[in-house]
Amino acid sequence: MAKLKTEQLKKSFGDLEVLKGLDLEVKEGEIVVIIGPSGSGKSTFLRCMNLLEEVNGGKVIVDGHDLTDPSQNINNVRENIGMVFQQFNLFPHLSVTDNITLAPKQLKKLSNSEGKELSLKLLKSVGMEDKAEVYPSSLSGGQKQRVAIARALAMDPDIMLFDEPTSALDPEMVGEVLAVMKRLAQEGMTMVVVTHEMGFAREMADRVIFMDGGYIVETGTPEEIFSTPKHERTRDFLDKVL
Amino acid sequence: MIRKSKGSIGLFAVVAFVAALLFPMPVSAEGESYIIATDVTYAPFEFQNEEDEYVGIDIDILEAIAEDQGFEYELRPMNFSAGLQALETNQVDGMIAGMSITPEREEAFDFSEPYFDAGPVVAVQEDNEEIQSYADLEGKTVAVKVGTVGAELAEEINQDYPIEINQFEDSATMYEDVLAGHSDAAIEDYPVMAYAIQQGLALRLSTEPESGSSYGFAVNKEQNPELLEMFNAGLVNIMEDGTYDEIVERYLGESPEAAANNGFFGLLERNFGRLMTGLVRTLILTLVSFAIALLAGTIIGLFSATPSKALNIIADIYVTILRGIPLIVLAFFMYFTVPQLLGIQITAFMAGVITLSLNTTAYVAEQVRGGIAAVEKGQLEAARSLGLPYGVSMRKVVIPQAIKIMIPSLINQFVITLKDTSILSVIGIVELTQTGRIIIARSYQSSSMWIIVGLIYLIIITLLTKLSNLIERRLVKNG
Repeated sequence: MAKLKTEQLKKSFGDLEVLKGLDLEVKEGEIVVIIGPSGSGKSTFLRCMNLLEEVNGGKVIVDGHDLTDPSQNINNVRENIGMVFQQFNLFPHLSVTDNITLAPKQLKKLSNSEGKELSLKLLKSVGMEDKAEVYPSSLSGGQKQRVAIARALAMDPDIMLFDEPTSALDPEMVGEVLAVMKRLAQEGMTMVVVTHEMGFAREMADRVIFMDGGYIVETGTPEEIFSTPKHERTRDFLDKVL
Repeated sequence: MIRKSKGSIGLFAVVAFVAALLFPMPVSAEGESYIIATDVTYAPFEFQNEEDEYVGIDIDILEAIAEDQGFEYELRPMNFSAGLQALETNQVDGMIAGMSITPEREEAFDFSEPYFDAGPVVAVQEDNEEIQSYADLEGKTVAVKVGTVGAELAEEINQDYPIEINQFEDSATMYEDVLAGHSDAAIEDYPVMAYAIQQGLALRLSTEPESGSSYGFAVNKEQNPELLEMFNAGLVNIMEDGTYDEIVERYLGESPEAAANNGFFGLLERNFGRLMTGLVRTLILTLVSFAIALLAGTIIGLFSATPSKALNIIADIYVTILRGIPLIVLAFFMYFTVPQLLGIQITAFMAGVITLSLNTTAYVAEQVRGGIAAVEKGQLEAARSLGLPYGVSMRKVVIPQAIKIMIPSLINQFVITLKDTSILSVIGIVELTQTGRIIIARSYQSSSMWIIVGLIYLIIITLLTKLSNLIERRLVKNG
């Protein structure tokens, strides 16, 4: 069964239709990387997968739950979908530990000591255990994004969505974030990643999706997309970015 | 999120109504205590002496008659024109305030037998030799008190000799206007003017007093007829037993003691306790109103921040209405109009708190809205993506950050609210500014007094601002 599925997903901003009926199935443990030019709708597509954007048509089905059904408790489903943002979106008024434990404490009624334990375990997994008590403002961009990943993992999700996680980083910090993502992938996490890091796509993706103009233009293995792209537009795009 | 379905007019009424339930004022019944309005500053008829007691011809006559007739009363000093409105709207049961009996007033009120004969007179600066008659006033500026017989005389003079008329709320300010040279002359009831000059006011009488004007005690038309009867009966008694003459002699006799006039520091020293009492009342008004406004303003502010269109509109209507009404108008509305519409009585202090809270709420709501809007959109998204519900996300993530953004403007609003309390003196709340006015009415030392009052505001606001900045720094440290 598909872990995450969209059926004829449509999204408009005012009169502008940015997603024009997208079908996608992500299997458990699969790494799907979405590439495409800016304005192609790939970030919006990702944000529809946990309904951060309201959709105007079609369905989003996660673990058999239809998120577009108004009777569906969206919060319960979101607990199971971690999300990492381009701008990190760490909570600046909370320490690193409090950033990570806010949701588990509120939703799973974790005690302080359980929260500390969880936070340390997650920080260790992203190599940030020495920064548990500092505030986000004292961290570098790469460190912030690693904490953001730890935070997204705090509710123990089955699916992780990455929205251009390295685009706001200085080049020398991209590696440390990609390394954390690779380890997650190797541990069997189901992941949907919107990125411009073609290296990551080629190396880690089970499937690469090329989007343009609100459509999925082409889907395939990294080998198929990067070596033998079928569509003109895919070729044009890859020529420009590679 | 209570009362979210009601419009702001409803909120208005509900607040006023709840306030009335919480702080009921006894409406006078037979044998009970009457509420009598008087002027705040109208020596020698009513003024506060050095011991802070209200004294004067009116006050002493009322006291003597009450004793003679055996009724209880509570004195409610307020500006003359506010007193008239209070009587008209049954906020008070009677009024004694050196009030001339005129045909217009007799249409609205029932008057007692006249208890004092006084006509208006024109006064000018001591060394002004130019103005000796009404004709000399032509082209000059004349100061009068709103709604008085003096103001009517000014209108009559204006018919024959065109003059410029300046209107004031109390006598002391009117005198000051002449002393400062803004107005060339003031028109005031003769005994009041004569008393002030006797007390050292640097004016002189430039015309003979008009005759035919008499003071009377008033009740609202067809209200409290028994009170009026008692007043008339008591008046006859105290005139017969000589009490009346004693009282008049006490204030208008040959040698009333001159007002002590020993400079800035003497004035401050003598009135320090009184000023501090006024300051405390100012602070209580500010703190209570601001606390209410913080709570209500946060709720209304959140209304405008939610995705719900209906709540947005409610917040918008509230803010638009309350920001669009001047505070002084709102104060009169709350003190006179609302109680009349609802058939209740509320204290001036309650009306003041309601006025100031409603007004401040609108501004706080705007700051809350602005503060929330200034928090990055990604913060709410990050919280929601973790599965946190909207309310928790706002409470734990967005609002703490919004508060930090809002603090400077909230401190600013607090200072504005504190200063706005002075406007509430119009409905008779004796806060710091009104305290200053009362002291001036007795001491005739307005320039020193306003410097003192200004300095007190300045010092207290500076201290509070410094304190708030300290708190702000502590809060913002972890950001």
